[in-house]
Amino acid sequence: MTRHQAEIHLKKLFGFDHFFDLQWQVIEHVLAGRRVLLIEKTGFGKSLCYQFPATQLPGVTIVFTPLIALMRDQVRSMHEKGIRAAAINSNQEREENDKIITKARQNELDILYIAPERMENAGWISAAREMKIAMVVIDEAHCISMWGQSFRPNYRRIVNLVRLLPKNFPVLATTATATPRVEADIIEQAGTDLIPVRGQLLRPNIRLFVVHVNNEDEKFFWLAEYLPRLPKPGIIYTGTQANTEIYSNWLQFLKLNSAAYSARLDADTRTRVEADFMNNKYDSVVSTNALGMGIDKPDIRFIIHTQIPQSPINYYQEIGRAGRDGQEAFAILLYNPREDRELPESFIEGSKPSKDKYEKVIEVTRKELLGRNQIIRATNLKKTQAEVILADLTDQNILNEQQGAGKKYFYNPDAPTLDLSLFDELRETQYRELDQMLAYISVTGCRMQYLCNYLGDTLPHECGVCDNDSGKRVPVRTREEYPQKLNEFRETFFPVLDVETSRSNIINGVAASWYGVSNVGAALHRSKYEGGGNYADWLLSLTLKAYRKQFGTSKFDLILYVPPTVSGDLVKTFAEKVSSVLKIPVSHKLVKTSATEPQKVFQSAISKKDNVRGKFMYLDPEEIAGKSVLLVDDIFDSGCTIKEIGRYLTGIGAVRIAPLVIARTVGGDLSVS
Amino acid sequence: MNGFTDYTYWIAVAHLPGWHTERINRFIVQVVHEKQMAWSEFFGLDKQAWRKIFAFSDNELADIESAKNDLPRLAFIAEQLQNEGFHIITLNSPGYPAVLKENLKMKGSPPLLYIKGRKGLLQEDAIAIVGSRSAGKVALDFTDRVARRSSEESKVVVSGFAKGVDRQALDSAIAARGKSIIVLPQGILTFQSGFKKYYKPIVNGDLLVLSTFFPKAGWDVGLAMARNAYIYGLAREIYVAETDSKGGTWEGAMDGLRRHRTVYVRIPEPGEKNANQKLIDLGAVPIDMDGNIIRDVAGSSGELFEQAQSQEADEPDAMYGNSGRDYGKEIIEFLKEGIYTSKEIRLALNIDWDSRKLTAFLRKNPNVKTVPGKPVKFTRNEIVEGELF
Repeated sequence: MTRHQAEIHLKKLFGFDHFFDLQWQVIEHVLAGRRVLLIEKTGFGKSLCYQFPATQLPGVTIVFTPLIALMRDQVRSMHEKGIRAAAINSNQEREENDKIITKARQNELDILYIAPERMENAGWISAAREMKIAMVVIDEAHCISMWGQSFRPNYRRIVNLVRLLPKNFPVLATTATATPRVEADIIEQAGTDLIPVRGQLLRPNIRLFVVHVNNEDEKFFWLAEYLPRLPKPGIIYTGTQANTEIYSNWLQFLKLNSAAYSARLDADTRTRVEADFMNNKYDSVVSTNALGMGIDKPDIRFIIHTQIPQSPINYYQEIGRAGRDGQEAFAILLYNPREDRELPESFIEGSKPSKDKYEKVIEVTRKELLGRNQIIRATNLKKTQAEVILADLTDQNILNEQQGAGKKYFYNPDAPTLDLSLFDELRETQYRELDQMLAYISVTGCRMQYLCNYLGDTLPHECGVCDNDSGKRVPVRTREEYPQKLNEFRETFFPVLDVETSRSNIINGVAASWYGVSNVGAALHRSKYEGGGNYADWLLSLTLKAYRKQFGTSKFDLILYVPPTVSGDLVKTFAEKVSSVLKIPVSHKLVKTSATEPQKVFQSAISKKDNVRGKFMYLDPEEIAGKSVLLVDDIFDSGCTIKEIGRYLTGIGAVRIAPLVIARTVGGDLSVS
Repeated sequence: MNGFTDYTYWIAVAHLPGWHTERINRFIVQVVHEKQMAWSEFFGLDKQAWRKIFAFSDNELADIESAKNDLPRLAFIAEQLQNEGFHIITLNSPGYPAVLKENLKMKGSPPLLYIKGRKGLLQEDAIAIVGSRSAGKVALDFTDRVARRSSEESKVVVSGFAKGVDRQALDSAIAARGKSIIVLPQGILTFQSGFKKYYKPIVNGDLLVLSTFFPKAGWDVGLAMARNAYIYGLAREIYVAETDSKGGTWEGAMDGLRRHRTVYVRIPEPGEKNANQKLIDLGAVPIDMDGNIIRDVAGSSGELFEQAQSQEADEPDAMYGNSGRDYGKEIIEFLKEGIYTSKEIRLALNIDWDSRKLTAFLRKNPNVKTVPGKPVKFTRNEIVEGELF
């Protein structure tokens, strides 16, 4: 097919007169059965490079993409053009997915979008075997590379598939962010016959700013000053989950319209926040980097980072979500030179567990064929660590996956020895990238040029719109009322304990403070571990403040407290004081049926749950029926204990169980529920 | 990781529908060995080029074409195999057990082995213990003893995972902490429960599971019969615990005798209803319960098949064997001397096959070249088999 012929089809199907030269270059390769890696910025029209061939090649084109929103939007727009497109993903009902797979099998689709994790699904694999597949597309291909910061283990199987596809089978990998190193890595992994095609990465409409702050408070002040003045909507990225809540509450305190978003929220809440953000119901969403991959919103006007990202790749990628419509957008990085290095450094240090943890996993998998959760139980590892280890051991061919009812890990009798040198190299690379991110702060020339250079794209001219090029700055302004307002906020901001489930009558509770964020943690530690006596009275009044804010005028019939693991009456005494102030009777009848280990011994929610399951009872259970219970404890970590008690009390008739604690930890392995 | 990229092609070739093993192997030798071609190159060619270079028939071309169209689908199977840690051992790879090629030759060597377990087991000295699914207690006891003794001698016990003797051989070897190979009568991806059950011996490197069939193929009588040849093929010594005068065990043992392999048979106790004695009469070596050879029994071993011994690369298959004479060998020998019609061959060698059977043999045998004309004549094929065998 000549370009002229192709453009006649293009006009008819897509309504465009011409391809860009770069688009045609890619399409020509693909139609000739070659493989291409296309590196081009967001908004260039990468998708046409596979959508068009999909309409021309016999069979169905499979597009692997992690972006469910992108799937939805593209399927809709292809339908409008009369192109047979569909998507299967976990947000859809199973019947719907099955129907689409049947269509693909019967050759009734031109293009099918699926999530990379679908390759883990045995049903999909066997269905795919019956399809006539014309071409495979890997979207967000930088996820293939371990060096790409957004490495996703489930891309491994896509890479393997691509390597096993016949040589003259067209494959297109696309990404908007790949350094030369990542590019080389993608090619090495997916096969040397991948032809790289690189475009311009410059985003001329994004205005880059860096703001120096002298302390964390100034970040709050800056937001108070400038957020009302920025065009809307936008995203504020934080480094931790706890900070998403703190900042969004600060903004709400300032009467700005904002919501928090992080992986800690349950799936329903996440979907709701995403949808509301898409529909411009918020001016800003405060989020960890969990938000973004799934969002395809053209009119995001600003991206603010309150914490420096780990690498310029991450930064380019995250700010790339702004201004997809080509209109002016702002990318502003707040940087506190005293503290902001610590977090990315701790991420780098923590990204790979220690050697003995790998060895522990090897040891248990040699004895028995186990699934992930069984391995977590057998090793007492954190879930996140176990997942990293399992992905690495699989990658090093020490373990193999076995698909069945659930995924199991099969030890390879011919396993090579564990290679840790790879991790050292990775760590060094990550430190180098962090250095380069830090260098971005102090760049005096064009910031866009700096980022593009880093990504292997030479920008011949300056962007002209960043702070350095334009001479415009947005420095911190500390108005007189800001410090006082912040103080007021801190005294009235109480972390919510999100424990509500449909399976029990427990409701979301409240903590007086974050454990690590204020002096509350230190005070607790003194009493608990340093013989400092009963919890101080100021902790009591802070806790009561939290109680009033969260529960207001709610009526409770009874106060219960979590019985201690080791002897000690700290919580008991504290509950008695709460009882005497609130004038709600306290009961001492909630006890343990047998000893439990301290929860902090266990690293994962799975093991913590096991530790407390069935361990609580109320001595006169009939007393609980119909009661509304206030449940007091000192520290809330994973929430497993509170949830277990909630479940138990629900079983014996409690109508409402409301947790009240002094502090909530920042970490907490809450991802399993 | 690199090693896996070719396997999609190999899977397509190894299971070409309707092609018998020998034809597939000849095809492999031709492409990989004679033309020194990578499979990606071969499948990059079109029909015309295939016809020109390889002289395929129209039917064969159609088969290869359809295999080519099937490649993207097979890639999904290859990927699953790789992801789940199965190894594929191709006919031309150094990991392919030499003993299998020696025993089965071009005619019967499976082009691909799908395995799970420590690969090194394929290179170790192996014995096969075979016998019926409904073997009696004495036969099972014999199996147990032979398996244990072989384990002590560090020999690998090969068996077929059927009930009776097979399972006894496996269980006894594992109990003795010996080494075993299971040869599956099904595709390797359909053995999930077995992998779970035998996880520890596999992980410890004591057990290897092997299949030669399409990975998704379910159990099937035909596969079970075909599988027997591979059990015999993988072993240096064959022990028969109990056999009927027909069926897989019998056919396999007879085939072994025809190939001049030593076949040990448990000497039956008086009154046993089986064909062990018959096998001994035909030349198998009688042994007692402890595997010791018994010298002074009726029926001298090996006699019946001795005269047929020859250096030929190919042996006829069971249907051509006949009352002591190895017609296949004789015909091949005879054809070295010239070009003959089938009638001439029949008369010269005084063979009691009918002309249809003889012609079928001549056309099918890779060592025989067909000379077109009226009548069709046959001669020895000059092309030496590839070094793969």
